[in-house]
Amino acid sequence: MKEEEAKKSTFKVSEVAKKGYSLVKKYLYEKAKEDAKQGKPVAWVCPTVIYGPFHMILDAMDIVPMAMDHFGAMCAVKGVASYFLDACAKEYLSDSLCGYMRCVYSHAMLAKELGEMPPEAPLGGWPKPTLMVERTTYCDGTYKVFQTLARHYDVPVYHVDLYPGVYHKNIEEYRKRLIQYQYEDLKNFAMFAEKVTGKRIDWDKLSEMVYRQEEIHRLWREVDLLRKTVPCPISNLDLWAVIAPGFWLPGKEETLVFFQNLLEEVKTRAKTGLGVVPEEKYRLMWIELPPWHGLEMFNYFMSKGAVFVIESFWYSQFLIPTDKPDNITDPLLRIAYEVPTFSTKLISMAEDEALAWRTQFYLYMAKEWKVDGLVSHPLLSCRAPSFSQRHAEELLMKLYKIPNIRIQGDIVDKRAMLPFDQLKPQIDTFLESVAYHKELRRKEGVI
Amino acid sequence: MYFAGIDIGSTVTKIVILDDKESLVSKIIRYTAPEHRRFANKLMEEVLEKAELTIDDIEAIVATGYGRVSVPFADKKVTEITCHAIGVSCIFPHARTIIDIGGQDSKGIKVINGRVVDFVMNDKCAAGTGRFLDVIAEALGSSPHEMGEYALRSSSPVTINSICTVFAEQEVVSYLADGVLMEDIAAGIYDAIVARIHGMVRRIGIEQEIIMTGGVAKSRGLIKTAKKRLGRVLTPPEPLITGALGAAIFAKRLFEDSNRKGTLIDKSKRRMDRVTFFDQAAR
Repeated sequence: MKEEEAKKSTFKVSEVAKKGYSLVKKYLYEKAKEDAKQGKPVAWVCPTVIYGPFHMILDAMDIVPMAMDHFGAMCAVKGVASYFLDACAKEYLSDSLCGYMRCVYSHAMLAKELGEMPPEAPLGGWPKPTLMVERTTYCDGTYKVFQTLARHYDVPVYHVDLYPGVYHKNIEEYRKRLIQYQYEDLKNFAMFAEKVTGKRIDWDKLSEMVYRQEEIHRLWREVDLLRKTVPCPISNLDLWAVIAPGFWLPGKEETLVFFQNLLEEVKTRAKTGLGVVPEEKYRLMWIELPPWHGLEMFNYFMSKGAVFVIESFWYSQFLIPTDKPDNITDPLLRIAYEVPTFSTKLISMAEDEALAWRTQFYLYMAKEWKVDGLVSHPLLSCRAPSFSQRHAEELLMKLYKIPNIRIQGDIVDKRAMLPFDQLKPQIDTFLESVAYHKELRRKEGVI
Repeated sequence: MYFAGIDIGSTVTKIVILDDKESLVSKIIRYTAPEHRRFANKLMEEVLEKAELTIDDIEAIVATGYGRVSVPFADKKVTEITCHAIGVSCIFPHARTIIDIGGQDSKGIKVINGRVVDFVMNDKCAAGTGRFLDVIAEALGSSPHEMGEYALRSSSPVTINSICTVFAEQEVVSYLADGVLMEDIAAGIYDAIVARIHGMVRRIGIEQEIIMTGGVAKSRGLIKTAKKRLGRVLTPPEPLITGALGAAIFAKRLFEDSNRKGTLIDKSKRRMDRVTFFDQAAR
């Protein structure tokens, strides 16, 4: 395939995944705004957690949850992020502050200045919040921006303390303590929301959503596991589109149907040997969020027969615990169980205490998904999840002879990234190196 | 039989013509001019004339470098990293680490038997590139070549704290204002540039033999500093042309491969009229 054709064409192969956007548009934006117009309280939430706890709890309280990180990604995808980032620069905000948060912040400031939603805001922007919810873990940008915006709108903000987990010699004991801690914090959060809005949790609704979300995760996990198939039946571009309903519409019937259909489609493709590209030459792993402003880069990789078969575990579902006891019926406790179980499960996989557990996990993924090369994407404005990349790169090469390329960039700010034309020669050379090492591994019998 | 490699770099363009024994027949080195298509053709005509050859005498032509897409007479385009690896390995068969400092980028290439096994490049920053040295040399009122000679005489290099081209230039200006000797400033600059490149190339693992290429490798001051930090560092007789040389060798292999497969290179597709970007777009 010629380069120009590759740039124009897309390797989104899933018909189901394509419907993800309309689902998000309908429920996360249009219906949410309609509900807000009807007088329902609105909560701005960020950043989202993969099991969607805040969204489900708020939904069960008839409070409209708004996903601020999705808004930032949408600004980048729609090519309007620079409008919001420039507005932030005028206020002397640092370029290394979270790109999502800069879009959210300037959106609010511009709305005040213009007296209406900025016309550039994707899907019409957001209604004003009644309350705000943020997760303190990792993301200091959200913490500070939400604090500032809460003052701006004169609304209260709740800082949920989702514990990230560390290595612990007695992991089971540690996990129990974390579950209890998380449970107490989620209860406090629910009480806070009740106090601010006067709304009460509909426990039956929450329970239904939580069980449904667990089923959604199970289906999602199956999809990720099917990506081990050679050739890989679904592209990462499809999977990035799937994230939106999976993250931001948790526990909804429509999301469940979406994932049921997705799994069926991927199963069929895998069974019939239908791959993303006609000839799958290389299987790649991607570390960190993608550059939402430059997704055409993935088309270029795929036009060369290089398919991304797995991403950072943050965006994959295959590790969500399946061993949750049936006798836990309190939905808040079931959510509380998810959080530390997820992190401690990752940690417990680290065979070597000295080896950062994140790195250990990348080694595991490389083996399981038969990875030939690693592409890491250190994010200028989101350093916390980027810190283990260098370690992973070094160990993958040292232990498994898997080469890597670092593409410096950002989720939202395209100025942080080399122009695509300058990246192409680097990608080409990287793929040459991947070919060399693939042959070397075959000869030496390394994974 | 003859083979040509053209390397259109951001600053300098090089063309090399080899015969079937891979001996150098002719070469040309010129500063890259705007409008690459027109420029590439003009330069090719010049080197062919010098070698008393016509374009049809060349069995295969490979283009490389940033401007490789703008060579309408090339039979194939290959990345500069691959061509550098081939070109350097032809001169130094035991080369394992290539450090290429070009006009607008710098890169480290790990090679085994002429094949790229890993690489690293600087990102969106001019520090550690030829352009960085140009800017500093200008601030010192000298040429990059003279700056290299000054550095050889230094006994007490200054410390340049900034890796940013603009801020490093400011530091240089401050040192000049303080009356610091030019040679010590020049040596300090080379220390800074080598430290930065060392930090970058270390990521792919530095192994002997280390070969330094690119225009900057002509500077004796830089090579002296590099040896202090890296140990043995070799440079080709003409460090500028390794990319073009690799491209010419690649062209020879391409020709041989095509012959083996019976798919001859179609020379009629080459365009030697001085096509401009605008002509090309109109077609």
